[in-house]
Amino acid sequence: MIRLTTLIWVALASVVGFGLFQLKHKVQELEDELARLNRAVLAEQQAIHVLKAEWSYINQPQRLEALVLRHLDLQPMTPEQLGVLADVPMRTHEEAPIPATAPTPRPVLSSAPAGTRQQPSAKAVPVAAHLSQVTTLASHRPASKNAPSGASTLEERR
Amino acid sequence: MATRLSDLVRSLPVRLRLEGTAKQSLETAHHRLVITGVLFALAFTIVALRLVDVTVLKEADEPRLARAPKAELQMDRADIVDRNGVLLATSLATASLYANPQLIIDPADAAAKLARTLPGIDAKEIAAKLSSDRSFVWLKRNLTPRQQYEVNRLGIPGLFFQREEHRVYPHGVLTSHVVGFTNIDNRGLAGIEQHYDEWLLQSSEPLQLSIDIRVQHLLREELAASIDEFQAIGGAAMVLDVATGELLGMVSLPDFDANNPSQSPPENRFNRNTLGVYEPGSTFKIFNTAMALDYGVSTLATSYDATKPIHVSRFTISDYKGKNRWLSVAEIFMYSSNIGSVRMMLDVGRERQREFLDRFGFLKAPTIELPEVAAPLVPSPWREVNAMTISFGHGISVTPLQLVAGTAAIVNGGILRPVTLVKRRKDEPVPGERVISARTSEQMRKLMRLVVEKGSGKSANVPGYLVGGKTGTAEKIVNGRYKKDSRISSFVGAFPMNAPRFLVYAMLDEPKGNKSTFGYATAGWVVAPMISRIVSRVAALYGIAPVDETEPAVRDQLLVNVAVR
Repeated sequence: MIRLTTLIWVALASVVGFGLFQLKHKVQELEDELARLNRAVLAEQQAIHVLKAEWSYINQPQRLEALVLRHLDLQPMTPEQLGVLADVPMRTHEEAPIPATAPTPRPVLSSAPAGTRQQPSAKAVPVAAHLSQVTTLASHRPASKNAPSGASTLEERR
Repeated sequence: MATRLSDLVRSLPVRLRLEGTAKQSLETAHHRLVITGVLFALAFTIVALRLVDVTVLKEADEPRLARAPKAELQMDRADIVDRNGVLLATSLATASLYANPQLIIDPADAAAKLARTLPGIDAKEIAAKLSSDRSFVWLKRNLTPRQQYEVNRLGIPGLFFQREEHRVYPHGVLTSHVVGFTNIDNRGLAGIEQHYDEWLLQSSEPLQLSIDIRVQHLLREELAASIDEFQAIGGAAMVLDVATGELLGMVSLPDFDANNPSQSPPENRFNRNTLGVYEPGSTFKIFNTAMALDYGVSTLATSYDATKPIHVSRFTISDYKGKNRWLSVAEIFMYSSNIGSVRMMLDVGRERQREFLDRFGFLKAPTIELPEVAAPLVPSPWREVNAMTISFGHGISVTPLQLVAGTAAIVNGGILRPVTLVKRRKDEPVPGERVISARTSEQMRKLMRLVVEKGSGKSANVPGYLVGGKTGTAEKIVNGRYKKDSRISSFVGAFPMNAPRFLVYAMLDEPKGNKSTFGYATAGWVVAPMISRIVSRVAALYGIAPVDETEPAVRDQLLVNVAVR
């Protein structure tokens, strides 16, 4: 009788002990995994930090400008290319209504850039298509009186 | 004992009663037993309750106890970014190589190997270091990852790496005068880095400046082009938001690479905007005119005699290409008449002039978040002759920063706002104090527009942007004498003049005239065209729509109601 109880207790203790060992082992593994992940996260953060510095470095305005001049037909935007929505003329009634499904056609735009595109020497191509429309509008404005003429430039400027 | 006693009691016949001392001791024992039992029961109940509490009721708290330590990158020194968040200064982790000479087996061989791997170190010097009897010597600070890898590959025992931080400025020269730089131990030595040294070491948030890197770039580019064109020895340029006092750009040339400040000559570290004091010349007439208008001494139409030069003690004050007639206040400003300016100042009086300039902060060192700030050179005592020359910007030397701050107050409606390099928070009111009336400010805007429309600043104009400003050319003082043909040519302007947003300042140090300027090196010829290019680029950058200058509403806003001949 006493022997059986003892046996049961010993068996129980062994089972619990084994279970505990297994659990501890598993926790240890998880902790190792966590530490490994934390190290990886830190390494990634470090890499991101370095990449941010590099991103800022390769985005130096003078570098971008040199690249744009070399590879693109873009030019610095001038005030003439800026306009407000009110400058855009209203659509006249004779024109056909735009079909709902088709993308918005831009009749005015195709003409100006197309002309410049054909000449490889012409560098000035408007940045965005809609800007060329504003450019044409701006050119209709009265010319400034402040453009220096030969006579006035000799004046004293102090 | 207790068992035996209770057994004894139970074994006794029921009727049997113990008397006397025996009974007494039995009772005492019984009471003690009960008390002890109750105490134990209580203790066990508490333990049981606590057990239930901890294991069942507080179960939700359990995971928090085993919370994982968070991995987060911590740098010793906070970043510095521009107003749009572009990184201007950051700390990168690097490895620094050190050795324990006690553990080095063959110093000569190790030194030779290291000298072959790392550039810029001397084998003999390293060998001497490695043979010393110390246990710690620095070999090289801040290695690149590749160098670290290569040193590791050499496999020399006794070499170790220490993690260190190295300050990096991705934009190098572009913001060097503003941001400054640090020493090898990451302590600020100049600029924002020095002014905010403690703050940067404590903060984990980046420091956001008011500088816009794009404005900074265009300023530097235009300034460099002008310096090149007119062979100037240097120059400075600033763009200021007149409503908030935030500097969007501040450039001084020549400059230096913040990543390697010792590579450039020390004079390149001189920030002309804050550390240079110059006679402002005619740009100071902005304040002289505003003073006469604000004290109510003159109106735009008041006329002054500018027919002949003024003689005072041993000086003669004359006009550069003078008109030799009576001039109105508007004409005095437009033609930049020295004689007229002196007469206006005499009407105001010496004491009031000093008080007025003090109000604008011209008599004390300006405050800005930079350690490189110079105090102005102000005459003391403030004699009559000083007062007269100061009226047209001579005999007083101020920093361009003061001139910019003061002019911003003139055009923005009359509020002097502290100029700052740190971005203001949108929800905070901008500090400032009124220095002139809104009406004077409006009149000054008209006059400054007049200078660009019809006066000496014509080449600063950009159609549609209503540029206004004032040119100034002053001969430099060398050894206490004015030096001919060595000038400071400057322009301070704002746009659009009907509702100013940005103040633009540019200055060239010792420009030389060339064919395109017919040999002139005055501000109207050499600086005003640069202002025009800066204005058009800043306007395009911020998408400011041009206005039609011929429109009556716009014309009325800036019309000077005085006949100008």
